[in-house]
Amino acid sequence: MLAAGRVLRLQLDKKSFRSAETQKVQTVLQNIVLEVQDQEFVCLFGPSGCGKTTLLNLIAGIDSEFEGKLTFGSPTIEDGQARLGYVFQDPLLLPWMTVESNIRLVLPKSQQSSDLPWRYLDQMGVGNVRKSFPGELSLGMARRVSLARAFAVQPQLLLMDEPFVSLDQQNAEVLRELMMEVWLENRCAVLLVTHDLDEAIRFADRIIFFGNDPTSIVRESLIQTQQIERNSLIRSEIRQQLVEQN
Amino acid sequence: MFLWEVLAQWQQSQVLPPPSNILSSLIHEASDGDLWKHLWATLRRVVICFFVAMTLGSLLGSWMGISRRVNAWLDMWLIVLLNIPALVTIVLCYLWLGLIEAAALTAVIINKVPNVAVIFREGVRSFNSRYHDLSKAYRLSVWHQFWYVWVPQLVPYTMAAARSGLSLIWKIVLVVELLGRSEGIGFQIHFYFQLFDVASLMAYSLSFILVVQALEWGVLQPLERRARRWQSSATTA
Repeated sequence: MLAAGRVLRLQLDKKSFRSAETQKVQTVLQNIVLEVQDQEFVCLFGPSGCGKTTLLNLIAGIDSEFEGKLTFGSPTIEDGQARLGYVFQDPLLLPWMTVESNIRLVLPKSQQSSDLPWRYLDQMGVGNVRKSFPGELSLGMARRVSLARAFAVQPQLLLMDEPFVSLDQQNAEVLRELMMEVWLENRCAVLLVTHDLDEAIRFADRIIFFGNDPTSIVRESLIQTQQIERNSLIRSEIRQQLVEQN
Repeated sequence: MFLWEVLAQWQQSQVLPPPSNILSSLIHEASDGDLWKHLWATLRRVVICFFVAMTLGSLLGSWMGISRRVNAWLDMWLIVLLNIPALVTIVLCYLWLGLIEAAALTAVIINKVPNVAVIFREGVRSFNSRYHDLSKAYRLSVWHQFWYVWVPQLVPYTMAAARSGLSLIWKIVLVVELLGRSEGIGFQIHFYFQLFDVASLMAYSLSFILVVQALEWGVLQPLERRARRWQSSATTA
């Protein structure tokens, strides 16, 4: 049973892949228990290629072949299915549809007539490209649309897979600010995958460190200070503590 | 054109009539002759065969693209059908079903379906799996997935199948008409061939070439422009 307020519980005993070339079965993830509470911002931190994206895909239902159990909970979730938002590593907008249609496509019926999605688009600074096709947007703009789309579905759980990579520093910084702003206004549970510790320190209520081979959870750290209070001084202190704990 | 006219006028050969003769023959057939009757008969057959072949071929091809098992099972038959000469199918259909309209249409459809199926199979195989991830993560309904994610990815393949389909079908329809029907452009071509009236023969051929061109400009190209709007906007950005 899920405790009230818990959005997700994943008990992952084993996740393996069969290599297409050698036909050898390789275990990538093992013995992971992951719980996320409502409104909690959780960062999954670990080296590139350790299977963090695979983990998100299991939670999103994109990949359902694993040993273990995945349960969504909390009273806000419909029909045992969680309403998810997913910000992929690439913006992943359908190129044959306008920005507006891309967002409309993923909206649940109850929100089709709401103007909330377009407010997010405005907030992300891309309200003017509503009628444009994704091919007309820069990568930065497409990322903003992709973030607005994920918030627009009013997700119970928002999954983000390194949403700020391959942007220039300045652009990434602006987007981090915007994302935080929107999240603080519409708190939902978040699982953000990153390999940038500073990013994790900035956003997370809890950081889960991944490592080992096959990948499992090495340790978890709670950060008590509220996100808005984390100025650069506090962040470097947190960083210091995390390094010492290690 | 001018050279042809001069050459033909000078040669006065029966096998190479000047363009002016072909044109006057076309006008004559259109105003006093049976051109419209035959043109309509052929066009009707082309349209029926086109839609039936496109529907069956796209369903079959998509099914083979989705399921490896179905593909393994049907692949050999597809190759056999692709390589049977049109003439053999036509003759067999007439022999088995009789010299009736249904036999003519069936023969043309059997000739075209494998072609469409092969194109659609490739289309389904080239689906971008990332869009599938998107559909799953955002819990899109099967209908939304079909209409907004799959169909747009198949547009270029549908256009290719439609183009090659139209040209192949009308050529086969003519053969079908020549061998076993008593109306249609193919029948008229056969008729004027026996009379050795090359001008009328070419006039009838020309009439249908004009129809196919009109379909290309009036239907296929506007449809394609509409479907590819997003691509042209991307390149002008």
